[in-house]
Amino acid sequence: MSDKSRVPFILVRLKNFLRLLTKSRLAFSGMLLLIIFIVGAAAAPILTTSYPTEKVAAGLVPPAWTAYVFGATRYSQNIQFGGLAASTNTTGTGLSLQSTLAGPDAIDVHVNSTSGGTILIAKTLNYPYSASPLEFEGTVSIIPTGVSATRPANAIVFMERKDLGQYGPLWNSSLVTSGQQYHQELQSFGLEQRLGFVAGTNLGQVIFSGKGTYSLVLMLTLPQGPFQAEFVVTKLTMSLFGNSFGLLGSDAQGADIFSQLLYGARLSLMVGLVATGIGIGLGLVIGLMAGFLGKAVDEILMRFTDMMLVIPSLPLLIVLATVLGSSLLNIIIILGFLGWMGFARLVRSQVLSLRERPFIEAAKASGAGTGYILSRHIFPNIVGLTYVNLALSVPAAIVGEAALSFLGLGDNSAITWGKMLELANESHGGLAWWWVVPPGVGIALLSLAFILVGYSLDELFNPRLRRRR
Amino acid sequence: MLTFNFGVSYQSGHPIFQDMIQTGRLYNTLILLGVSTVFSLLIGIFLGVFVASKRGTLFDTGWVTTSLVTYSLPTFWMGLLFILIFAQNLHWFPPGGVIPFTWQTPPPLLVYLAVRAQYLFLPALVLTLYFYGGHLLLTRATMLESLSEDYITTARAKGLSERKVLFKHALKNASLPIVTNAALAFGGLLGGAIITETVFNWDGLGHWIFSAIGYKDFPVMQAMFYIIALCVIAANFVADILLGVLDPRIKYE
Repeated sequence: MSDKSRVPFILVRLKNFLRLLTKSRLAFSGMLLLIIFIVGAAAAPILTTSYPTEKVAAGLVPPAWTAYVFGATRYSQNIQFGGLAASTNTTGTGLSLQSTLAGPDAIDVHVNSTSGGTILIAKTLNYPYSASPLEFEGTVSIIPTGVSATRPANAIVFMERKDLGQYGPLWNSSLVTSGQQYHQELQSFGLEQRLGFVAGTNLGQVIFSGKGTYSLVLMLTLPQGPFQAEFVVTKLTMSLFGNSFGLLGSDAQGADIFSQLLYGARLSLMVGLVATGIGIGLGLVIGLMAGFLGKAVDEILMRFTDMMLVIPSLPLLIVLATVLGSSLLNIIIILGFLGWMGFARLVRSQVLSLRERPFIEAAKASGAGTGYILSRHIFPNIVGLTYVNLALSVPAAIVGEAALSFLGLGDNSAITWGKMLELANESHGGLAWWWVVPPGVGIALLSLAFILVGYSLDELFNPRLRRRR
Repeated sequence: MLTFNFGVSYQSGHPIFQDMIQTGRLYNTLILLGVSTVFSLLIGIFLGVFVASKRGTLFDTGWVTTSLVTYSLPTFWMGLLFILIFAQNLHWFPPGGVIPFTWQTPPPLLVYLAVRAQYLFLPALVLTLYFYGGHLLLTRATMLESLSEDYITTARAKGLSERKVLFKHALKNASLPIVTNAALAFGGLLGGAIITETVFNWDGLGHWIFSAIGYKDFPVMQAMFYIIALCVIAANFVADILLGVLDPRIKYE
């Protein structure tokens, strides 16, 4: 057979295989689940707007849809100030202004004045929710040109509501150096005392006490006398974090749980597949050796396998993770090295029966070596077993990793599903259902998907279980 | 080793044997594991027998699916979920611990038992739910095999009641793998105990192992693994003897 016709043949076989696999309803649903997880994990950067550890919401708020489901009247969601524009405060003479927008958050302002005055650079927000936001977070960043230590301009940031008045200054600074960037984070925590409130007051609730039009104003006061300058506002943003957020709410740090779930699926799939791959590889080698070489090798390897089988796996896993360190790679390797025993026994029993078959004898008679027989005659006959076992032992690895992470022995830099559950368990103020339920459902569904696929593969490859058609 | 003198715990500075007995850890773990083992075996075996006798019905597939699901759910997640629902929202059970902190002197016996049962309920439920599935599936499989034997037909032909057929004839012959599996499951039970005790703050041996690992308290770890090994060996030994009792054909010389 030439190489050209070989490729399509493999494709045809794959197609037939997939058709067989999708015939049974269980296998189909397993494949569907698996595909959903794989697509979700692969497309995590597209489907989510933030990284798993990035703060994008108020801490520990429920999903946004709960407000509709439970009919809550007082809810708020994340919302941002927009509509950046610059204007002069006074209608006085001698102050002219020319501004160009450089994006939604940046503006470039040229000023020409003869006797001072003030410029207002503002963003507005029509706040639509009856409940106050829990937190706010913003940035102001400005590069002045044409100012000097003797003739500085002054920058103040405050928040204004038409009928209720001003809250500020959130920031107050003298702009003295030309070309320097003046930068400030505006956060609801830590500013309350500056604004004259008791420490611990929730500024978000004080300032945004109801529906209405708010503006975030950066006011620049120019020095007296003739003055010519350019102010490049590189960033003026303000986000309000409502009391509900996104698809699955937020964790205690204000990170998106939906994003954690999808990125966690990546880690879980990787841990499960790689660890199982290691386990299957080891099991295959040991099983083949024990089964084919027999005698003393068989005896030694099988007694060692028995010994490993008897040891309770979780305590051993915990000890190994503690002693060897708990990076994700280590955990994968440990899980792999603890997951080969059952498969090795299975392979051995299969090899024991295979090696007595006539075709092996024929191969031996025609002068084939041990390696050749193993790789060309025995291995192809147990490939099916390998697929089945791969699918069936992935759940154990996923749950094992989750258990380790849950006990605090996981990789601290990787937000896996187990890690999410650990954080949810340790957070103050009780368990939050939107934080506890998704990772567990993820683990359960992913395990279920692998089990369903595994059983159907078993039905395909195991002649004893094959149904008559 | 034989004298149970394991040295001194790095954490507390007391001899380990004393720490194990006097703080009630051994006792707590024995209660938790004992209760959940008994219940999971009872539920698993009885349900397995009934499920096998009604093979192919909705009852059968329903229970098989349910037990597969509870069997594959991570124990710690089940524990967290129960705490969330039954302790935090419904306030039916305490979220963790063995006995209330406020107890200085033991209250009257009935109150004592009732409150302890309340504290025991959730962790024991989690472990039971986790382990009954395996027993159920195994019982079902072995029962199906023995129900297709000729002597079952004979027993039915004799006009024996269905209960007698199931339990006296079928189950007794199907029970050997179940007993062996129960002994083997003991190792897994201890692993489950570490997690369940940690989730529910249950002051037992599993929780102790976990904290010992955190503190690198090697003597305690050594002692605990020794005891786990002893328990597993003992469970297998008991199972072997039971096998001899159940099946007179098995003889030990």
